[in-house]
Amino acid sequence: MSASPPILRLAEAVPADTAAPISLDLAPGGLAVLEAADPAWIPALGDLVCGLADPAAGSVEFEGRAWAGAAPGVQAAMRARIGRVFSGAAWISNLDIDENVILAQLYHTDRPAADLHAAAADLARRFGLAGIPAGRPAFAVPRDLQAAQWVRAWMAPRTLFVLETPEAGVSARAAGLLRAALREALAAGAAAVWIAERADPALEEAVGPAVRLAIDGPAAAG
Amino acid sequence: MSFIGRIGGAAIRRWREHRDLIASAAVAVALALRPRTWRRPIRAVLARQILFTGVDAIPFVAMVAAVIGLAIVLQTQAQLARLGQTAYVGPILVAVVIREAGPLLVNFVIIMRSGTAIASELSTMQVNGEIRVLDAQGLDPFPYLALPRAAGVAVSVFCLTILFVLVSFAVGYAAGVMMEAPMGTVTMFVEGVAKAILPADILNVVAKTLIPGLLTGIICTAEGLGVHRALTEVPKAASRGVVRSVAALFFVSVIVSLVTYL
Repeated sequence: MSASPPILRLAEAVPADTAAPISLDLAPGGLAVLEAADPAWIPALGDLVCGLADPAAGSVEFEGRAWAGAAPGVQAAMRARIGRVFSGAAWISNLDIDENVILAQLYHTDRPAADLHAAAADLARRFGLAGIPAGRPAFAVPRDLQAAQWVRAWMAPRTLFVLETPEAGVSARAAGLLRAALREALAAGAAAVWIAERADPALEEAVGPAVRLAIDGPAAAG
Repeated sequence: MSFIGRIGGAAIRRWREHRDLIASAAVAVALALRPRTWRRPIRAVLARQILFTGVDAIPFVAMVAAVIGLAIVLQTQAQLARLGQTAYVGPILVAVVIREAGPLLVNFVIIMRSGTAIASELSTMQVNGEIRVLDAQGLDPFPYLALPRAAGVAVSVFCLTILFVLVSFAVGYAAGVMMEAPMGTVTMFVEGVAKAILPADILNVVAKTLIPGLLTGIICTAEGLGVHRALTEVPKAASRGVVRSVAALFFVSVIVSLVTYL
């Protein structure tokens, strides 16, 4: 019987803006911490992992399937299994925050909207919010928006989490809630890529063992 | 590059634009015919598009229709009555209002009103990175953004054209009666028009509303999504969307008229 492929495999993948090829195999329960020397690389690395940007060289596979060459519909279905926290633009500005949070689930699943709203409210409380912030994203407090991003990423069972500076602008208490949720998700068999300029050295203590890669120099491998 | 080379390059670019437009319209139609495409968020975008493009435009389209009713229906009826040729009222009104003026003017209104809005909205979303956010969540931008907008515009143009024809005839007739022009009875007027409508006219209205409406939605979406990172590209995208949509409208109108009536 052949072994199942890793959830994420980067084989000598060269992000367009960096010279260093990245090699990484991430199995269920695995956590990789990518520390980008240039903060501008953070969203680019997230896009690389999610197949939104082709590597300049090498390949990226998700659940044993290469992003390159997959049909748009297949790629969309693959991305539905990835929970992502964005470091830059993260919201559709002409939708309310709660609409943003449940949008992908309305698209990919048949779960009733009322159930999705209830699930989002439960997750919001779990992440320290009173509920999903009301109104358009432009009018929300940044730390609440960041927590709402966590809610969106956790709205469905995920195979992979791609977390770009996920603790930016939040309190230590809120960050602890995120780390606890991530630890649970990894224990349930998901994998995660944590991308930041400098990740907290204590992250592994809270979440579990991680592969750390510095994205700034010669070949990074893990 | 030589002068001939530049002309050739421009011709090739134009050809590719037209080829991409036709391919996108074909994909939109194919997707629209698959019930599985119409997931809840896409249906919601379609409903919003019909609200903004169709329902919200009713007052303005009705006003334009009233003006056309006064200008064309009243004049046609009054002049032909003076000449004793009232038998031609129906065919002339059908030819002018139903075949040409209605679809053309409604398409114009929608291009100016909604085409610019679609191109501006989507180009702003693109510049702000919102399209990437959708893509990253597995929402394919074409079915989620382009399809419901194109379908919404097409349906709205069709419905507004029906409204346009009804309002222009009603206002024209009512004005004629108030001005004591020899309009005949309502029944005579309606019968005259109804008898003049041929199956080809119905096909003509359907083609001249649904096809340009679909193309307007596709063109303006493509122009909106075609920008890169600069906000200065937004007005240019809107302008290009309008120009290309008007060109497509004229082209389709001429072709449909030729195919339908020659």
